[in-house]
Amino acid sequence: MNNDTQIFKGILEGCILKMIEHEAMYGYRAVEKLKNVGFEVNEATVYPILLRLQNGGHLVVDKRPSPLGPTRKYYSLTQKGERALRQFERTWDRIKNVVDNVMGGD
Amino acid sequence: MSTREKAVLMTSVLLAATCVISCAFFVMTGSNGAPCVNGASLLFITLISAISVVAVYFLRVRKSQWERLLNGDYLLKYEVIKDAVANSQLSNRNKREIENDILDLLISAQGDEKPADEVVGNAEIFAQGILASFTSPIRLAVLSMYDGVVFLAFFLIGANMLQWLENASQSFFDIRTDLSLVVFFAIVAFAVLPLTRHLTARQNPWFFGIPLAFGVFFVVFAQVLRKHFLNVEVVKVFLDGTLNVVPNPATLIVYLLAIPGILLAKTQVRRLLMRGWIRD
Repeated sequence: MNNDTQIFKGILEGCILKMIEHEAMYGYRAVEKLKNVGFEVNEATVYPILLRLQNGGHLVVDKRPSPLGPTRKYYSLTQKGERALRQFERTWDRIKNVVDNVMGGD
Repeated sequence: MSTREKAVLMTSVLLAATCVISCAFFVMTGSNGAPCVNGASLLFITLISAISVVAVYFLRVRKSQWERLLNGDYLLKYEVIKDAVANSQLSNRNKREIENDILDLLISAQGDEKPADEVVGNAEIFAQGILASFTSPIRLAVLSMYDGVVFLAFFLIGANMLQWLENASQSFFDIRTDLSLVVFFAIVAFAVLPLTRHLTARQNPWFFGIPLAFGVFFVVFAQVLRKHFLNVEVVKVFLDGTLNVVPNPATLIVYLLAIPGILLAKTQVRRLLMRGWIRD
């Protein structure tokens, strides 16, 4: 279980960038999507990551009215974010191949 | 009402009450035969004091329309996070943005009937994670030094002004302030206030008493020094020495320009200390 947590933490940022690549997303929706694909995360995990990505220039924010509460922030990738996502995809492919080789995969 | 909001409201009530009681005392006893406070002035001061408390409530305590949507555990969690963010050295713009984001998150989760613990977990740790996404806590703490300079400037000018008002016939620039008071102001500005700010983020209401406790300690300490160590030269200078902190108009202008200058410098330094690019 601990190993799973560490592995998931390491790839969470890259997965968030991938999710946001094709669809501008707000924080709560990002958490729900991550849970749907199998990540065991909550808002307390994801929101600081979104802030870090925004502060690092990987995400840009578009504020839109919300049906329930205050103005809602929708996150989209910047060019820097796209480059970071491409780098993450290359890194993931490399790691996946190495681990598959070790595990005797196809 | 969060712990911080209770402390803010209580402080404003105490301050207003102290002001009114002091003026009432002067009205009843006069002031060296030349009362400067009469009944009409007392009424005016009471009115202003009451309005100030109401202003504090509406500006700093009263919940926004969105905050009123939260209930039970969600509201408790939100207040802890809001207090931690409010006590940090982030810019006001960042603080408002974070509060809005958290409100959006919590209102959405509450609408889906999720348990608050499942959403936020430990609210203090969540808040620390938010602050860490901007920069390290140690870097942010450096900004307290700038606040210390501003506070000290306010304290020194304020003390000079109060002493001058007691006897307006003397020149403002001839006022001498006790050295022990200057040292007291410096310790409060650079140590007591930042420490109080840091500790009150932990939701323990007793920490709000730190400034008062330090004041009492300082007075007792000074009295002990006076009783037992007055023959020591350094102690004598500390207790009985005076300092002309505003000796001329040029110095006063430096003080007055230093305040906005330091605040501007703080904004620039904050930007440099933040990881990544932030629009402040």
